[in-house]
Amino acid sequence: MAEISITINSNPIFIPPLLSFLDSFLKAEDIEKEERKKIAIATEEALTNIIKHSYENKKDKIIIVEIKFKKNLLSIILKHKGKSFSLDNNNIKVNINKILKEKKRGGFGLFIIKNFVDKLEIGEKEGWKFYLLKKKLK
Amino acid sequence: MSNKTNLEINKELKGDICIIKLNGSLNAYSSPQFEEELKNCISKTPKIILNLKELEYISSIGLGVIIGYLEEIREKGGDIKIYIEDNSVIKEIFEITGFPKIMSFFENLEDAIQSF
Repeated sequence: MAEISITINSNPIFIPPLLSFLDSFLKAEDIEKEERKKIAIATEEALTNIIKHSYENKKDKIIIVEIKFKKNLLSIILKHKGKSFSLDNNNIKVNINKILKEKKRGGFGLFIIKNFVDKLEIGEKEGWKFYLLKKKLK
Repeated sequence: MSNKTNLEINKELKGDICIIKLNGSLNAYSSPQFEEELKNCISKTPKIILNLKELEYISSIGLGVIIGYLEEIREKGGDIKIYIEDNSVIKEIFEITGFPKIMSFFENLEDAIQSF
């Protein structure tokens, strides 16, 4: 079992080095490149949501990133103390024509996460809000 | 060429078509840099090709920048076309989010140029 916990500030500048570390972590577990990319993309989307919506772009808040890999199951938990975000798993959809017509820019993030991991859970436990991403690998 | 972040951007004007080549990661951190270059291109011509063949990574913020300018460009008589390899994670992201319903994708740069 491999496990690590990293704490970063809610500043987008820390996302690339964190994803680079995640990539090295998964590479050491012999996870293939395409899978590593999908996991990185899903992780970035969750981090971006936390920074943008939960911390409202404040850069000095805390995000704890816990990565666990056990029996081919990868779990990434992103903990934060920002605003709650509710998730209706059955209602994560993208209407590209509507986004284009209304000249919006968002609405893709959760949809991408849901497509690139096996399980997405958003909740609250022991005073921390969290995103839990799970994916079976190999 | 600019390389302030983990995204390298090269622009080329071919006739009245602006070709923007992206190499690296188009994410929350590098999207403002891409948007700046895209706006610069649009100020010259509304005909844009995004060469994403070497792009390693795109996030929802990057998708948001592309779709955010699409209507404006079309109102000016232009368009944004995408040149990308078929079997890539980047193409998969465009597909799952429905972009092929509203934009044209090409596996060959010359075909993308000829489509204008």
